[in-house]
Amino acid sequence: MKIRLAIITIACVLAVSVLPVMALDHTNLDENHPLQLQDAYPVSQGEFVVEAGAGFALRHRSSDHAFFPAQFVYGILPNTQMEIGTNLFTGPHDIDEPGKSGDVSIGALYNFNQETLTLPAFALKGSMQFPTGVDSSGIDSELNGIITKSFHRLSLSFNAGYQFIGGHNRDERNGRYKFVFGGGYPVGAPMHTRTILLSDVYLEQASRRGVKKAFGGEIGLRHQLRERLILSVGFGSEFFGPSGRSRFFLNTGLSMGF
Amino acid sequence: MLASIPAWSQWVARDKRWPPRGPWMWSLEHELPQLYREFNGIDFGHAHIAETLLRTRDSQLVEKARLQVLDFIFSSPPVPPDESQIAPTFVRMVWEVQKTFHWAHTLHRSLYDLFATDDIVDKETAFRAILKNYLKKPEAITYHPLDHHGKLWAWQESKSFAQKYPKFNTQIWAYHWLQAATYDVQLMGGADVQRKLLQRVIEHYHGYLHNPPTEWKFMPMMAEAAPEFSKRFPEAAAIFDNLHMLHDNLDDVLSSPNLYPNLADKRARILRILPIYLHRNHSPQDRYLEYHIPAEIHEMHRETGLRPPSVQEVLELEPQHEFHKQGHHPQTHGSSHGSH
Repeated sequence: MKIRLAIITIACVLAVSVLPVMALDHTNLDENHPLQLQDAYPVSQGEFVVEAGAGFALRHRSSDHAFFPAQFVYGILPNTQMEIGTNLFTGPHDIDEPGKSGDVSIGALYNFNQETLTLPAFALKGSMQFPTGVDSSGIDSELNGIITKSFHRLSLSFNAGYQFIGGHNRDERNGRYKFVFGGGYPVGAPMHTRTILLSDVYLEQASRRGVKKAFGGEIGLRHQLRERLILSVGFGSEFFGPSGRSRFFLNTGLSMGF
Repeated sequence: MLASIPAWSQWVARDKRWPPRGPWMWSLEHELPQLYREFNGIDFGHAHIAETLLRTRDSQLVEKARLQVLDFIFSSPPVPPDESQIAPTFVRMVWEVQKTFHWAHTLHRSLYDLFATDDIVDKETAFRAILKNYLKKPEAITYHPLDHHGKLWAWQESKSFAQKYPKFNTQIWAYHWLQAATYDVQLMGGADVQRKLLQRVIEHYHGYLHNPPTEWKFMPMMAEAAPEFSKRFPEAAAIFDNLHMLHDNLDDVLSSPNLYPNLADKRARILRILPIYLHRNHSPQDRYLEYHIPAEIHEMHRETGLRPPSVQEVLELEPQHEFHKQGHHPQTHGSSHGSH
């Protein structure tokens, strides 16, 4: 039932994407749009972006769920973006990791420089997650260092993050790390630059002590439908990790700039 | 390569900016979709030649790149291409120039939007607001008329792109002619009138693409292709003339490997040229004074051979598509036009 809901929503996302709506920088990667990988670049100063999506996760020895992320991004200052967002899950009581259904997160990404032929681009992102969701307690906060370096048209990024878990129980850590590494390549460039093929791998420490780290991989794409409208699709699997890890997950979304 | 340059000297802020907001936004795309697609094609053209010149000196490969640009333009691209994916080496070699181009092209687009909408009656006030917003940023090109025909066209590398690749060069000048000519069409009436007139102007421009006007010996000036716009909005006209000259200067640097054999040399040369265009005040005792047009010299009166027509002259012609395809274009002589 939950997965059916997600599939219907995904179909709606894809249907909306063929309508003549307005659209932005499709090479700019934000977390979960569609992969966990982020690049070191913010949206343009003065730009508003709405990102919304739908997806589902099929899990080992745990209940499956659908999810519906939504995020609002604004280029508030030069090289700085502010974000506010949330993620809704079906079966919200079954979510056993930080980031509960309905938690509101606020964050900011600052880009230090544009990459050159030798220098990578560097960025720092900080965010706070408030316990506004189901079964949520404590404020979580996260710091992420991001590096992006390109080799001709292949653009690679590395994210190193640490999450401070506010409302942790006795058997939970008060913080955990996460590393993501991946990249993007424009399929058909230089003649065609509308579609970026993406891939990443990630390693995430479990919030519960004594539970294995999750190691997963994802593949996806971002396709520029209109000047300010981007469709993103990603899927992946957690190869190793805790017993409740995702066997398969799919994430779709639309990003609209205005 | 660039490894010989200290890393700190390459450190550059990204500074990407969204166009200024106003009721004019996105009007070009809605009101003049055919022109919108032509401009998307032009965006590809500039980036592709820059990357090609960094990769090769082979004239056959450069000609192949020119034909690819034509294929792209005639594919009527529905979205602006991503220049950082078309020219990744060039963009990362001199981001300082790339953001100057990006901001000036944003000004172009904002003004096309403004003049394409029928919703704004007082265009002059909106124009002032857009221009003010443009000039506030450090990467804005000066609105002072510079000496394009003289000092800015007399460096060691000057004319090298035009001499080595005359077809590609005049194809680029044809883009600039369309960009200029469009403004005068936009001053002739509302969106309906513009749509109708632009069909003929774009047809004329396609004639240039089929047969690049190699008889032109200097880039089209705003005052030639769009005399009315240049008279009413001289600051914008000067900015766009300067922008187009900067494009020519860069193509000259990139096509002079004997003078600038590696990426570090090219970057250093380009970063010596760029400040001339960004320097804003140009008071009489200022830096770069020698690059100004001396008051007594009217740039347009210089001998520059056959010159591009104004858009008015093009619209007065009967539509003669085959005429253009045979490589004959209406021309005027350089000395017959007015001055700044």
